[in-house]
This record gives sequence, C-alpha cells and structure tokens, in this order.
Amino acid sequence: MLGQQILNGLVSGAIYALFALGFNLIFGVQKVLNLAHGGVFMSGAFIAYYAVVSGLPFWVALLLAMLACGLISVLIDVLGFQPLRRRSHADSEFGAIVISIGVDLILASLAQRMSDTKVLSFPFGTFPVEFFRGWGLRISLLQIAIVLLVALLLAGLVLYLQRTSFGRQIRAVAINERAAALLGVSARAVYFQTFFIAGSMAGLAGVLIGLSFNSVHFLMGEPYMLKAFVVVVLGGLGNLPGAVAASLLLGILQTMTVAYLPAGLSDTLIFSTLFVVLLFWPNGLFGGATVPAGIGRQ
Amino acid sequence: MQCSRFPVPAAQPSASAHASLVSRYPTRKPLRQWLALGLLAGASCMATATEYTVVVLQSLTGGAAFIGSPVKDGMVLAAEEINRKGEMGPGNSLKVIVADDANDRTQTLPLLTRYAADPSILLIMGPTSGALATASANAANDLKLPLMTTTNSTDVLKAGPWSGILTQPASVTIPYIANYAADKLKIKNCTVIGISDVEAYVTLQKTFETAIKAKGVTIGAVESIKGSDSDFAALATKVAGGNQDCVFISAAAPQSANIVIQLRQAGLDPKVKIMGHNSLASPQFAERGGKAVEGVYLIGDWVPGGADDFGRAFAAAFKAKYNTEADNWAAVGYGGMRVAAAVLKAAGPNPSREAVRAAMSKAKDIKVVVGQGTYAVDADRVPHVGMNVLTVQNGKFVLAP
Repeated sequence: MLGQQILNGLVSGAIYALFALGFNLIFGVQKVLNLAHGGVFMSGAFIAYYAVVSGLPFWVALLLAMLACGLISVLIDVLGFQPLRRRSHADSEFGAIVISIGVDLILASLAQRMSDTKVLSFPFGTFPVEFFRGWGLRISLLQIAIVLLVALLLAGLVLYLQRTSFGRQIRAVAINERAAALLGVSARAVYFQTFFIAGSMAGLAGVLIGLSFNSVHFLMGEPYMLKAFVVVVLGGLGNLPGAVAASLLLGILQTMTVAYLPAGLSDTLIFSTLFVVLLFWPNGLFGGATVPAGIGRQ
Repeated sequence: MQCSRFPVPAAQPSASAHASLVSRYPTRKPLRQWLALGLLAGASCMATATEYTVVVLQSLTGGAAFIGSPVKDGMVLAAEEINRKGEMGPGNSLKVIVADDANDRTQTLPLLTRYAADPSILLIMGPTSGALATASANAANDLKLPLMTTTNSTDVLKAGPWSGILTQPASVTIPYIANYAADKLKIKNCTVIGISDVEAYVTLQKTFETAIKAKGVTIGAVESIKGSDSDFAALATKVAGGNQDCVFISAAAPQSANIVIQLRQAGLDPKVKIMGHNSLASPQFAERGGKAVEGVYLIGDWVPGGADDFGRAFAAAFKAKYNTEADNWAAVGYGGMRVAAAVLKAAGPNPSREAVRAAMSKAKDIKVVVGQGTYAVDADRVPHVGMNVLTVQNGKFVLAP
C-alpha cells in the first residue's frame, strides 16, 4: 500500500502544481497575489463542460477553455491590475488583492447561476477511463496525462522564460519594469503574455481536475487556492521549479497523513509545516524570486 | 352568488348559503336594492378573505444553495398548486415572498428583523443550513416570529417555541439504515467516511455510529473528509486495503458518488456493502456515480419518481415546471409548503402570529410526498415523516428488498 500511496501523493502533487504554476508565474512577474486565479481555473472547467455537453470533442473543448481562460485572465489584468500599476507600489499590492477577490466572486456567482448551484460532471467517456496495473500499483490514463502535462508545462515554461526573446522580456520587466521600458521592452505586452499563459494554464488545470475528480463546481477553485498558497510559500514566491517540487512534497505529505495518521489531521499538519517553514526559511524551502530560475520582480 | 373576486373564507356562509339567503327575497325588490345587497356581500367577501403571507427564506446563493435552491423550487410549486386548487379555503390564498439567506448570518438576521416589522408576514420557511438556523431561531424567538427552518438540528427547537424544524433529526432517520444494515444485511464491521466541517453531516455520522454499535456492529475506522474535497485517492486506497464488510458515507450526493467511484477504482472488495444517509437520495448520486453506485443502500425522505399517486403527481409537476427531476430537497420543500399551508389554515382566518406558532406545535396528519407520506410533530415538536430504505438499481432508486 505504501507504494500506491506515494504514487497517489505524486499525482495529487502534480495536480497542485498544475494549479500553482500559473498563480506563481503572475506573482513572479507582477508581485501581486492574483486571488482570481481560482475563479479562472473554475471557469476553465465550466467552459469545457458546456462545450463537451453541447457536442464538441473533448480536445476542442480543452483548447477552447484554455483560450477563453487566457483571455479572461488578460481582461482581469487590463481592467483590474493595469490601472493600479500606475499608482504607488503599496496601493497597487493591496488594491490588486481586493480587485482579484472581487473578480473571483463575480466569476463564482456567474458559474453558480449557470449551474443552478449543482455539481456538474463531464459525461462518461469524455476521457478514456483506463487503468494500468503493475508492481502492485494502479494508475489511470488521466493521471498519467496530468503528470506528463505538468512535466511538459514546467519544461516549456522554463525554456520559454530562459531561452526565448519573449522570456527575456518577461524577466526584464520582472526585474525592473522601468529599465526594461527604456530598453524598448513593452511592459504591456509582457503582462499580456504572462496573464494569458497563466490563465490558459489555470483553464487547463480546471478542465483536467474537473475531469479527474468528476466534479465541476462553482466553488472548486477555493481549496486549490489555499493549497496554492502553501505551494508558493514552500516553493519560493515566483520560483517555478520550486513550486513544482513543493507541490509534489505537499501531495505526498497530505497523502501520507491521510493514509497513516488519525483522520482529520491532514490540514493541521500541512499548515503547521507551513508555519515552521516560514519561521526558519522565510523565502521558502527552495528560495524565493532571487534564485536564478526565479522570475521575481525587483 | 360566487365570491370569485372577493373571496369568502371557509367560516363564512358558502356560495350556496348566499344563494339561499338571496332566494328569500322576492323578485319584486327594486334593482338598487339588489345592487346594494351585491355590494354588501362583495364587501363582506373582501373583508374576510385571508391572504396568508409566507416568506421562503432559503440559501439561493452561497455554500448551502445546493439544498436551498431545490427547497425553494418545491415550495413555490406547492404554493402555486395550493392556490390553484383553492386549498386554503374559498377565496383565500398563500402569498409567497422568496428571499435569499445567502448562507450568511449578516444578511439573514437583518432580513428577519425586517420581516418581523411587517405584520402581514405570518411565517418564515427557512433558513437553510443548520448553523444559520440556530442563529435565526434565537432571533425569531426574540422577535416572536414563527420560523420553520429547513434544518434537522434540534438546537433550533431548544431556542424556543417560535422556531421549528422541517426535516427529521438524525435520531429519527438514521436508525432506519442502521437497523437495515444490521438486521437485513448482517453487517459485522463498518468503516465510516464523513464530512467533518459541516455540523449536520457530523451529527448524522455520529448518530449512525451510535445506532450501529447498539446493534452489535463494530466500527473499524472513521475517516474524515472536507465538504470541498474531491481527491479521495489516498483515502480510497486505505479503505480498500482495510478489512470491513460495510462502508458508510456521510457526505453530499455528488461527493459521495465520487467517493464510491474512487473506492471501486482502488479495488474495494465488491462484497463490501456501501451505504449512506438521505443526502444520497438525489438524482445526482445515481447520475454521477454510474455503474459504480449500483447496489449502494441509502435512506430517502423521497423515493425518486414518487412512492404513491400524490408523489408521482408532484414529480410530474416539478418536471413540467422546472424541466429537471425532483430531488430529495425539492420534495422536502414541496412538503414543507404543504405543512406551512396546513399550519396557517389551522391557525384560522386572519391569524395572529401566536395562533400560527400554536398551530406549528400541533401539526399532524399533513399529507406530504416524503417519508411515509404523513407529517406530524411530537410533544417535543420533533417532526416525524418516516423514511424509506432505498438501493440503486439500473441507475434508479428503488425500495430496498
């Protein structure tokens, strides 16, 4: 059972990573906690659900959800965060939190109205339900897809940020927006890209998580937001590989507490760990935005 | 002479009585006297017709909206039927005001204060969730405003005589499934999985544990989940590796379906009986669970589709009005409005709130579509409707053998 539980933990961790990567990317570039990320994530699941039930193939629905969530995220930036960036730093941080909470509530309310508060689920057969068994372990095709996607997304993001011209522009704006602008980098284009990528990733995560757990609900983003906080703090704010490592650690820790400790201790242990980490390593276990792989804004 | 526009209450002379009164006057009466008589009768009808105002205060938004919303739908449907059929007495009617408690005390308590200030409001049907109901019950007793909450928490009854509960407490419902498990299914060792952050589910779970232990069944393990959880892989692997002949789930229908699916995927022995309480009696459980939930046992206030003609008529009317199947909560709401109507009618024409409160505490023999079909409260004001033990067969709920 231990091997299976470790595998369960890795899959759970991969799911947290899928959610947390986009959240951390925005924090890394703009240094704001985008609390609407959960709402965008939930929107992805809803868009794909309605696309599938209206007859579109799953892969089209997935792409549609990613595109729509990318645009929703950009819209949040353009309408909510962009005006704040013109103000002082302190105003912008607090204002961004309040605005993102508001946007999250708006998205959740819309979804609630659309779904009549019901928990929706993708029709059976939307994604092949296949299980692979070996060495006493069991994993589904969807779980394999999630783990592979996280690996691909992380590799793709790191490559994008480190090896492409766009990535260099993102890093330049993250480090010093004014200096980057003097060198001809358009900060607006950078924010557009960042929010679009983060939103698309949230949409993708929403679809896969909704599909994986047979559950699409207007409040489905909330528990993941809480876990995303743990992940970004443990992994280091703005540190993408750190976020993935922290997600996997969190997944395994949570699974082990469920499997081997008395019931109900999981969250107590996770948030106690967070407290201890913050006490001794305020920049997280893997360092904050100042590490080379990070993209933090200075 | 009919009082169709200016209705006459049941206690007043009926249409035929008016007719006989009129017949005593010879036809030679001048026209103006006839007109005067007609106006007088009309005015009499207008003065004595009763419009009973009920507020349906349910969670239409917020975390408990999955209960409050169908309850509201059931209540509105019942009120429309009652008015259409003239069940409140000739000419009398129910006036329903729908309001959202948003599962939020800061919104609910001011609403109660507002309704208390309006003398035309006789009864509040709600709020939805247990925690909100308890807070509202204290306010209602303070304001002397009759309140019938959707919850089954007996704390609402303890708050005072002005607050009641619509649904049966766990102490009434849970023994149905515990007895069935022990006596019919011969269960020996049960694992319990339950939501730990919603009071109502915790109460149901604890009551099951007590009831099943009293029947000599061992509780092997108790596992906690949260109402917002959806990933049960670790839990399912742990339970599937355990040694039990029963798994009892205390969670909402969609979540319970997910748990069952993941238990099956984790390789739970097919001989293990899976069971739960009345929250599973929702079409969502069977729809979402698919083949995985076949053979799961549960208790239901409501037998989907209806257990008798009255229930079947409700199911058809609900489907026609809302284009969706009635679930357990819709049926509870429908029955709830019928209880409200019976209580208001029993309180008499133009009743005071005190009369409504008194009628609430004596409710009995009210026809509903849940349980065994009749609603009554006992001396402690605890409602009794009865329960049905159901099982999932070919994707549908049927009475368990």
